[in-house]
Amino acid sequence: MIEEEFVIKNSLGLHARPVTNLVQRISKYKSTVKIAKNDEVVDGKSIMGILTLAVACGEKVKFIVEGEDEQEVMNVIRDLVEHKFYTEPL
Amino acid sequence: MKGKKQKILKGIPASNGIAIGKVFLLERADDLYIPIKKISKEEVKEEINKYKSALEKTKKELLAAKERILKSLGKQHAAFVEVYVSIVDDPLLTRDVVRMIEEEMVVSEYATNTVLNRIIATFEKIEDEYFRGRASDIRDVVRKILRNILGKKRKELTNITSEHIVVAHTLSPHDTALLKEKKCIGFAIDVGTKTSHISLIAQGLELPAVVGLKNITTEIEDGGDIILDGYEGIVIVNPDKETLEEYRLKLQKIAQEKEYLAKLKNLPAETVDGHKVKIMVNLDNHTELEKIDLSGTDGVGLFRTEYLYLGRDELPSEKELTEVYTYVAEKLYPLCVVIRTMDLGGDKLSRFNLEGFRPEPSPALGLRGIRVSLKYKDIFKTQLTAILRASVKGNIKIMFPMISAVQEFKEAKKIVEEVKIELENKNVKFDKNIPLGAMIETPSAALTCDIISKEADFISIGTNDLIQYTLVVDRMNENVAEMYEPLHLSILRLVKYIIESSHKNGKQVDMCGDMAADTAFTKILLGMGLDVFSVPIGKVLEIKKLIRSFSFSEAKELVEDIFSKDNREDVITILKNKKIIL
Repeated sequence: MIEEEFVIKNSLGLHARPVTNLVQRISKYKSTVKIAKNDEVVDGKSIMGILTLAVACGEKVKFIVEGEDEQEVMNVIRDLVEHKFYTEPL
Repeated sequence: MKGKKQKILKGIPASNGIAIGKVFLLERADDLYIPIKKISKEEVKEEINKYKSALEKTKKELLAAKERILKSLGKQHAAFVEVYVSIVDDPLLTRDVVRMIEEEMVVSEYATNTVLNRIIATFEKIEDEYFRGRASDIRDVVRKILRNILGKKRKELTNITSEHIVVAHTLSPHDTALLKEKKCIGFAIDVGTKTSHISLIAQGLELPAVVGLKNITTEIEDGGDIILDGYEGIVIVNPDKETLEEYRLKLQKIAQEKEYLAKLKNLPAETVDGHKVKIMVNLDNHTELEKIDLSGTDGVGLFRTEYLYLGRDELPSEKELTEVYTYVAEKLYPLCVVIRTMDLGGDKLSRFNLEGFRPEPSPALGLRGIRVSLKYKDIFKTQLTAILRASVKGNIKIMFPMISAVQEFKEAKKIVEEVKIELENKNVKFDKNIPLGAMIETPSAALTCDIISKEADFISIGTNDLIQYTLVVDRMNENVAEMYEPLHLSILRLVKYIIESSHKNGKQVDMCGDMAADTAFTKILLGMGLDVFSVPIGKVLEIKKLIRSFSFSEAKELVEDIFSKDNREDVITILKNKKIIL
């Protein structure tokens, strides 16, 4: 299991469009993905679950990935976060 | 209409406009009544298959709708449908509903509805309005799934005409695209909030809409007469003669105003005697450029860059900044953009662990504006490098905030020269003659503007700080807020001096503070000779309309008249007599 913390840079936070890109990208992988904000933990492949976290711009979230392809999944997540989930200009 | 009483239903105004027409009732909330129904163990497998094919079918319908939206509304709106598709794929639906069918042996529509209600309950607890509002999108998708499980079809939207106002329990964004194609004149729905996708799309399509009416579908009849008022968020059912007449007049006025504003958009900001000024726009961030139409303006007179530094732990990289500035320059070209370098108080920068920064007892009188940039040269240089790199992609001007003496401006200019040499050594192309402006927002700068404007290529007046520092009044402090007065003689004198002394040096003067956008001051500022009014986008036409209504000579006379008075009350009397203020 690996985990990593990220600061969300999207101007509206983790809103519907970035989350859509996230779940579409990582759902193909075998690993389970969990996202934690403070004490709340949700399924990282569930758009509705992630939206309930209401992550705003500048907030920190932790991604917890577990499975045979966990390293690859974390790389995808890191790339998405850094590029604001490819939903707005950097 | 005879015999039926007029009734007013209150909802949430979702999209401006008025529509008078006949109801096209799409569906009622209770069209989908879902009671609990048990199934036997043998039926479970079949029920799950039924459920899964309903999910597949829903997905197919959504993807077909996406194609349609791509054609009629463009990529941005099509992305909303992707969100819907992801909801259908969500494990809460693909996994949890299936599990419930298995474990509790219930029909799939009941399991789906139960899971939906659980999700909605979680959303309703969210404080943030945007995230809470997503519940209506989820409900919308799940209803599609339910309809596919139950094999219930909705009435076809294809029969709508330009006389119809669609009334439904809910509408999905792709329904809305169809409404526009069919030229329907507005819609009213039971659910939704101001930030639901449906509302945003209605605004984008300029389709009058009222949402959140709770039970309009049960209150009205198909084919009945209604008035939809998207400004007030009300629907008038069976309107009486007087109301109908009142709204017909309103519609007429709106149409006339629209026609006039459309014409105005492409006309110059020119007084009746031919004196031309420029009207530019203030922008807070680059994403606004996606939403607003800058045609009919003279570009962006103030592009604030603070947002690029806020809400993060690391400073933005040169690459990131270059991308933003390039995007803005290209998007605006051939119009010009004035980029103001970072204008943050030192307190906002503390998270970057800047060397030697200590908390300040009075930040308003401390390290801010250009002072921060001159102290932390690396941050400043990164920003300047990015701006210069972007400068070949459009028309960029640079402006330094909070200049309080000419030395500061010279020092900033020197750093620009250093950055230019660094770029030349790297063979990077940039605009060698990029104009450098000084923001005048302190009394010390205003009173030495004759000197500063020799050095600067242009001058921009920031009225908010200029007033605060001149009158020693913090507008946010309610004990003294009333003393904040742009018509104070000291302010009028300073502004006039800034404009006149800059003009003597042949330099253009912009204004980007609140005063530039306030119609009470337009005539005075124009009479003083202000060259550029930089205002929020929503104010452009109003200011332009005003400027086109008077002559430069009467504006100059007004200024003379005002300057002959020795107190604020007399100035106000003049403005009241001329009906410039109420």
